[in-house]
Amino acid sequence: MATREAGKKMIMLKSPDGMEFEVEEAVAMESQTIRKMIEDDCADTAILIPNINSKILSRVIEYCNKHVPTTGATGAAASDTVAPAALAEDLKIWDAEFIKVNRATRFDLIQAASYLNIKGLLDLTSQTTIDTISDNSLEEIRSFLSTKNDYLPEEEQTIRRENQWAFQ
Amino acid sequence: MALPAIPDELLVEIFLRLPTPGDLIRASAACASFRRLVADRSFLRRFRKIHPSPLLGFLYPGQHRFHPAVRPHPSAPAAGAVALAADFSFAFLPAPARDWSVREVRDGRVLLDRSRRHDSGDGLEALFKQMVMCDPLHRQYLLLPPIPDDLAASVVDQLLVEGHCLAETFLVPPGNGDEEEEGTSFRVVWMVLLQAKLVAAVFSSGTGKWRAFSSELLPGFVVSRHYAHGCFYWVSGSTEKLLVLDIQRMKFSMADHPPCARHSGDVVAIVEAGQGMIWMFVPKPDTSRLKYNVWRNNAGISTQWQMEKMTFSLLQVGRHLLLYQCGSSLVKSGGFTLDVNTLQCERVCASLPKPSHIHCNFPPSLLAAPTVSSAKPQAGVRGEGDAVRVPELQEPDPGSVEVHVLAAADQAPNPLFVGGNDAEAGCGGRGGGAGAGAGAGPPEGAGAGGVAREGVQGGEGPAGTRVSRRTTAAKGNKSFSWRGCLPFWM
Repeated sequence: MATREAGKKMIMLKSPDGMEFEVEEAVAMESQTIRKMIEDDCADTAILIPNINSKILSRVIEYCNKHVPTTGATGAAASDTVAPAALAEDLKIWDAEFIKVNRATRFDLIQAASYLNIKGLLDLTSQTTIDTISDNSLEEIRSFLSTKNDYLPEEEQTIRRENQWAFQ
Repeated sequence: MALPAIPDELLVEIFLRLPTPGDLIRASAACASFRRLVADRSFLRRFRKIHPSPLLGFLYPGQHRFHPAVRPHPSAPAAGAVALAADFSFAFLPAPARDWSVREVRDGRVLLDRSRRHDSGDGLEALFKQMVMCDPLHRQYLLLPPIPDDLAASVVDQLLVEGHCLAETFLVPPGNGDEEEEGTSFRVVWMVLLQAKLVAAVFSSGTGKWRAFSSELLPGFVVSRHYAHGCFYWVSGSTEKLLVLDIQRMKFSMADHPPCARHSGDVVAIVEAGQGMIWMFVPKPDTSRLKYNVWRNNAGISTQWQMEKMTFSLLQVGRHLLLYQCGSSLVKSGGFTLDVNTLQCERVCASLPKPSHIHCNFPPSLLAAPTVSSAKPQAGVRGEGDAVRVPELQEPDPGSVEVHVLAAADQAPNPLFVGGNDAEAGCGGRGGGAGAGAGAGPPEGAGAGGVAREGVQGGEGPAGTRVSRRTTAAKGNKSFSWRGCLPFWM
């Protein structure tokens, strides 16, 4: 059980596999989905987060903890002493470490970020996939996105011909 | 190891974030189910909303020619495809194609006009031209109905009293609020600025009709028109106020001018910057207009923007700030865009005839849906063969009066900035001076503007430069000059 800091409202998040996470309300509100629940007063006791297992949920909370704006009594002091640029740089390094996960975890994180509507996390987790699509051949795109070429050869030819500019 | 398929909703999130149209089209070529996701109309609408259509090149109206972006510009392949697929000779319009003059280019649509066949000889046909909106990629067009008679008559009556006016026709960008707007719907504004009144009408493809709206505001003469974040801005002779048209409400208002001096011939730019900011570029005094001060949102926060030792003249459309590079050996010549958020300069093409319209659109693909529907002409649209009545000047007084029709042209489609004197630097592109000259010059005669334009255009193009004709008109011997500042170089 996390200790309750004075003046900070805490929220309980529950994963479907029965784990409970107590987080600061400000951290939980990094998720627009949860923010809406709280603002609509649908979050008295605990919020059940469906479809996101405890392993992924704990990583999401870790991300939100890091990215919550440092305002308030303790945060203000911190941001007074550290330049914003340095903070941003620190955050970038942290993000790069955070996203060093296997492919399955990454897609789980994309799914969680999408459901919880956390834009920064969604951008971060989908970037590798976006880079893969931008930089690779069709074959590599298919293998990365686990799909098979189900076009007839002439269909694929037509698409390539009609959109030749996209393959140059 | 067979990995599980990725749920569609995640693919949608990822595809929406792909940076370029080319990336999206390649992803859609991976398999049929991806293509289905991408081809979905609501997906395409979301994608187009997040990704502005890329800049593909320039449309040079004088010759009806398209100048595509060239490598290493990222749009080069797409621009090449557009150059092949689209018809920028406008041969699909009612013949003869050469009669049509490009007025404005926006979101894949091109607004053109031509004189109506019935020329009453009173010089007013330039005010009441036949207009057509077209989509050169899909070869579709829609003829616009004439300006309603009562509205036209009220303008002519006032024109008789005043002797001259400024007129513009321009395409309205889709507003922020109308996300459900159909791909083929558009609006066009026709506006006549007289000394004593401001008359305007908006045509909507949805209704097929013109709707008049007017304003009590009188900004005096206007110099250039700009668009940023849901509003058109007119820079006028006044350094106190800007005339503003909110395209959502279709209402005119006045906004503060940045607290700075401006010479009458100065070329300024108003552009969209990030986070809803509006930047206004005003030449810094005593720098031969080579350096610009940037005013943000009229809030008086000034940051300096240095033009280095290059001679630029500027032209802007919406989010692009265009630089014509003139006469520096340090940099390759050509047309450049400047990203106002990153201040990064990007070369689009090697030769840029000036003035030219910026052409932004999605390349031919799923993404480029038709932007104009060639539905049967709306009720009230007269066919090309019909003689259209142009309101006639009455001739109560036999006094002979000379009419200078400085047909338009001087104004850029969207702004235009071309540096008055700086443009003399031997780039062959000094036409722009006209932009400033148009409003600022004395009412009689073309002033510097007309001259400059001729220099650029080499006399080509149908009308545009200057037309003088003798006619009889009211008001005795008072000199009478009509200045059409229709939005484009012809």
